[in-house]
Amino acid sequence: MAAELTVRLVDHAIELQALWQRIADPDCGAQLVFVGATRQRTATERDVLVTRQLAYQAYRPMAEKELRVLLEEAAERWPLRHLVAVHRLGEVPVGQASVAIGLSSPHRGACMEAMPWIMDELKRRVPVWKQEHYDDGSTQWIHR
Amino acid sequence: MQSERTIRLFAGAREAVGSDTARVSLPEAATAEEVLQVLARSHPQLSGLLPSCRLVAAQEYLDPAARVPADAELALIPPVSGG
Repeated sequence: MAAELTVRLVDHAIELQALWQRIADPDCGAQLVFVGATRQRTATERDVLVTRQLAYQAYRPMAEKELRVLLEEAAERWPLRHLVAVHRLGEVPVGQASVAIGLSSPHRGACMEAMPWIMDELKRRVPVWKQEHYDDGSTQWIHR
Repeated sequence: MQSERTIRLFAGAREAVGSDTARVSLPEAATAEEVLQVLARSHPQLSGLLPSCRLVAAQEYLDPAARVPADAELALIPPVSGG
């Protein structure tokens, strides 16, 4: 059965309830949602950095295309029925979601295996960048 | 023959140059690697970031030895940090 894929880049808060609805399926006994959110404190070797918010920038048409390719590849590797990837752009305050991935499948194995693969690949090849806005007013683009 | 091309810039590369594009003059049938070398000379403020950047044409990553297609939109992609 063909998988249903949804990709969105949004400039507002990610609507998680809508995401859950999109992966709901009476034939899917497994539904899994991963949410990545802006973290306040990051420990480094020397001290603790305090983040006020993140700002995300994307090469939009390519980011959408790469996210779709990523979900297509996941749907070929695992028997997933519904795959949703939403990435928020612009400013994302502490505690709010910057990315959400939703998956559903008849049995849990497919969702549980696919999720870390999708997030690892997203962080490797989708052209989206985060800029840290620290509590002291400084900013830094993250390139690693 | 040289050709004038515009390369889209993002994130730290955009900040370093102070513009969302960079204009470069490329030799005929330039490879992706050669484009990065031209950029390093024309925009020295990118030198720290360029070794870890990838070149994209028509929204596809190019191998360093791949020739840059004539009409495709070009973009410089620094290490990504989505998620």
